[in-house]
Amino acid sequence: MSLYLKLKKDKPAMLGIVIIIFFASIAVFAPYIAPHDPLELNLEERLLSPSVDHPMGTDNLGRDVLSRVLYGTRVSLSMSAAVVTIIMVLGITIGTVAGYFGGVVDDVTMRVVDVLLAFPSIILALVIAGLLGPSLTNVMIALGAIWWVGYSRIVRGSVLSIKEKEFVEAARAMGCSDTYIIRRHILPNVLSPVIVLATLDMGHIILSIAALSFLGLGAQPPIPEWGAMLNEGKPFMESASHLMIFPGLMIMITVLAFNFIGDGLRDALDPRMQEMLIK
Amino acid sequence: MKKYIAKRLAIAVIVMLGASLLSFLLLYFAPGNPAHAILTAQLGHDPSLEEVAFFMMKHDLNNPFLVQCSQWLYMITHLNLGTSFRTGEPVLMEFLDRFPATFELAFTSMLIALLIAIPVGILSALKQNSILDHSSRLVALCGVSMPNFWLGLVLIMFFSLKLGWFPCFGYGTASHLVLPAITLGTGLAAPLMRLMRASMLEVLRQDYIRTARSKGLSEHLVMWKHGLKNALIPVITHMGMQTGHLLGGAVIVETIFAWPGVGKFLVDGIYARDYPVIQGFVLVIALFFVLSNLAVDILYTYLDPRIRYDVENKK
Amino acid sequence: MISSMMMGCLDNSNQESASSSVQADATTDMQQADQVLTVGAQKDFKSAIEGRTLIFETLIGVDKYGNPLPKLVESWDLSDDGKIYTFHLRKDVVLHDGTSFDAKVAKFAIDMSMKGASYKDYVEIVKIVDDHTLSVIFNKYYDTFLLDLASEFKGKVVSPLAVEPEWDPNGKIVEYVGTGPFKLVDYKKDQEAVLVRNDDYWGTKPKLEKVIWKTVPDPYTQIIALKAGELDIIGVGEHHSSIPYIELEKLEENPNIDVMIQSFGRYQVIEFNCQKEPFTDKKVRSAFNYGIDRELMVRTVFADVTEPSYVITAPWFKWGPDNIKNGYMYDPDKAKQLLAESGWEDNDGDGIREKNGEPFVCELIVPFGEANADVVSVFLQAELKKLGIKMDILTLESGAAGDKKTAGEYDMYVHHSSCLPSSGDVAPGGKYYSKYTTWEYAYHSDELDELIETAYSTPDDVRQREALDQAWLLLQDEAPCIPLYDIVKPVAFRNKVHGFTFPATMFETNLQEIEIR
Repeated sequence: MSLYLKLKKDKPAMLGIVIIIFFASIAVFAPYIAPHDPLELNLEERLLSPSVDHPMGTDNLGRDVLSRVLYGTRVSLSMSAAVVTIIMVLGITIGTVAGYFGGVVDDVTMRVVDVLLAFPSIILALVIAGLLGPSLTNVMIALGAIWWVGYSRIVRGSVLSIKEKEFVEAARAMGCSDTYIIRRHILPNVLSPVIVLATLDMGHIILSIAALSFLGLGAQPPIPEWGAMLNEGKPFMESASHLMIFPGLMIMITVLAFNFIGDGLRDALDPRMQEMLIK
Repeated sequence: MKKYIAKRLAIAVIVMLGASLLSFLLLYFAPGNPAHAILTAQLGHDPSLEEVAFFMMKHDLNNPFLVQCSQWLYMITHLNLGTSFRTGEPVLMEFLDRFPATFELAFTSMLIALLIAIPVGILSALKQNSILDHSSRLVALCGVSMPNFWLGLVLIMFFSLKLGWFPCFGYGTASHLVLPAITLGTGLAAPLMRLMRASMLEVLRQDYIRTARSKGLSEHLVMWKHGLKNALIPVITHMGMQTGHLLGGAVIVETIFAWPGVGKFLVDGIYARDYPVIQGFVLVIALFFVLSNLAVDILYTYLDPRIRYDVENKK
Repeated sequence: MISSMMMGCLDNSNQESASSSVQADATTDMQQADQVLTVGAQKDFKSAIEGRTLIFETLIGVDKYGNPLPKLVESWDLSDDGKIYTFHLRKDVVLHDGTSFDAKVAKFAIDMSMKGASYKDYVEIVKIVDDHTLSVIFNKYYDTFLLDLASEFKGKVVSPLAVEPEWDPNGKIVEYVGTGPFKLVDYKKDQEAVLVRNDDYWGTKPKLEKVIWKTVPDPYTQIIALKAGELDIIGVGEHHSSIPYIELEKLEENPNIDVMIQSFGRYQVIEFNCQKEPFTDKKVRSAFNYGIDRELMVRTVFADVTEPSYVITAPWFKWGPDNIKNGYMYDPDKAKQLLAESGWEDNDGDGIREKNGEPFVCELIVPFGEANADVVSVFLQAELKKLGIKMDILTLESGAAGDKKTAGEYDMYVHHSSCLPSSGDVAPGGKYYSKYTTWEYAYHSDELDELIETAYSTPDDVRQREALDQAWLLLQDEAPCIPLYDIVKPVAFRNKVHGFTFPATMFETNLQEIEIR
């Protein structure tokens, strides 16, 4: 609760939260808000500058950029949410198992983690996405397959410390099963640092998805994803700069909002958790 | 200290072996085979089944899993990364020929980032909650929130096309370096600046600073002698951790600015399924990454006399 | 103050130099402009076939229609049974390293060209007759041998001393030493290559003294650099040109830049999987062909730069389908009628046709990096929707796409018709000949195989033409693919570059006539 109160006083963080809620509602209600069909071609109205009918202009196939940007909110937010979910599930599961059971399991997983940490993550993601072939799903797989590593480390660390706590010892003495202990005592304590970390990482994840899409590995036409829209708009940068500006700004605002929240969270965190996350 | 370094090096070797195995597995289990893309480029038309079969045989791609795997491990342990399918050149040479360009870009970007981050970070800490502090925070966050490929294109648009100040592509002179280095450095400066500010604030609260001040040392001396040195430690650690991100960012920046570096060649290799290049480059980059982290750790001990690895054995 | 003084100085010096150079103007004109051309290309010099053609030449040349021409081989004879080619070599050719070009070097080139080529099984022996005469003896008539030798990919003449091990046809080319109009003097990977004029060149000597090949992977960066004067010419370094069609209009408006466009007869096509329902049905394939408004696509998406195509390959090729009078002109009513005839009708009113309760849903595979394929596929999707067909787009990395093609796991596939000098494909022989195994799931029939075999088994032009005409009629009727538009190659250059001409094939670079003025 104190975290929430501290965060509430942080104006940028609150602004970030408002922006994200706003964008999330755009994502949900995109079909009702968007003035046009984001996929409908209108070849006679190509590359129009912003006007009343098309507030963000049209693209090279005459599609309404505003509608595409609005639908893009849907794609980008749900994609990053999905990636974060994959990361959290993998990170928590692997970290908990390694930390709780220890021994050989722990050794093996931590060596795998060491190996994965030896690769710069975006390069490995690039290799995986490139080899699997260009698609949003593959970008999700690639990012998920790499990003969990750091999380599992943190989870393992906190599991190790919780494991020694009296209430866990007591539960074990009472003959509770491992699954019960993990579910009742370990997971609830592990969850909050992981959620905080995920918030801090959201901006990075959105940027990574956009970067892979920009390289042509992510969303494929005609899906309106912001990074892919930038890639499609690049040839027209000079003549129709609105194709570059609006999707770019959307990425920036979203990431900025998450960074505001993350920054606020970091300041508001109690030192113990701060230390854990930095390590 | 020596013992610690030896131990870390030993771990690095084990990690590298694991990493090479991983980079092999990655390619072995990836769908699709390299023959199609590479032969089309070489022959100028779609390859026939016969030509594909010949290619697969020539490059030992039909061998059973364990044979291929042991071939790869044999090569690695003999410091042989194979030859590129596309160019026919040794992979290691392809890497070394391109590495200086990437290094130059990464180094300059880091320098730009530090030149922005350290002074602004210190000022923000000294004038906490001033307008300067708040606005630098805002600018820093904006910088880190921008996709760097986007920033690169916007910079080209203004500085080469509209103003004609800098060339928009190429390699060689200092003016070629400006735009790519700014593109890559911007995203880096923001977190460094925040870190510098935070650690400076932290240091200023420490006892030894108070002691120094109470001893009547001048404010400047306190700042420079005691404050800065200690405040730099987390910044340097962070920099070490950023080498990987830097290389990742370089991939995109190199493509936009036609920078003849490692990243671009790797991306082209991925698209063309040039297996030896992908495996070799990923491995060498990992090695570089591991070594730079090690170097940072060692540097750390020099900067912070409180840390002694050979004493510390608890962790 | 200072600036006005400097201006004064400059003015004076200008006048002086202007007056002194008036008489000499005509003669010094050439010397004043440095004969240096900076080429912007997406690929590294050694990775681009277009770059290599400046240094290496082929034994045989080819014109844009597909007729073989003399090049390093001055003339040739073909025995009556079509089995023996005798080549008479030029006598005045010297390689860049000083080696003179003779029958031994030419034999080496032919041996190298056979490395992976399909005709190596037909060649009995390559015989040196004398220093400048060579004969190649086949065990059966092989029609496209001359064009194989004209291919920049296969038939280049390399100094046997620049290969490691020396004189080994299976060796690796370690240095770029050929007979071409330019010599390579400096090369930096992924950056630039510097070429100088070969003063001993046997043909028309280039006017350019130096060519600098700069690697600029991003097409957009290339255009900016051209506008800024950092590059002199772009588009020549890629088969399909790096310049997006849509940008040409703006480049043409630029007073400092000239644009030229050339067709090499290569069309972008959509291949059907003719062994898979519903594309086994000729009516469905024809309906797709009639139902796409290529005219609209070319006019809007491609800014009218190119031409729509209605036949499988360019009719003006030597073996081209010039006997086809009626291509698949846009006729949506006919398309709908054909679909209805083959049982596809929209009975439930959801806008998608069904047959036996199954909706018409198909998938288009787009190999990653195929030129313009992203826009084309989105356009196609919209056009087919109007016909009541739902088409999904699946972009795959090119290796994975190739695997799907080989395994027949596709409905439609974005590809292109072939062009010179890949002879076998310009004639219908490539994709649709069942024994040529590149496209196993394309349209094949015994009748077509027979016609193709007839066409290729004879040196008799009239008989060959007859068989080809029949093959084209058959193919046009069967609609094995959707030809879309001509992939023309635009080249843009600063207006100080004069005399640029296009070569005969899209893989070649021709800078011989260029002059900087």
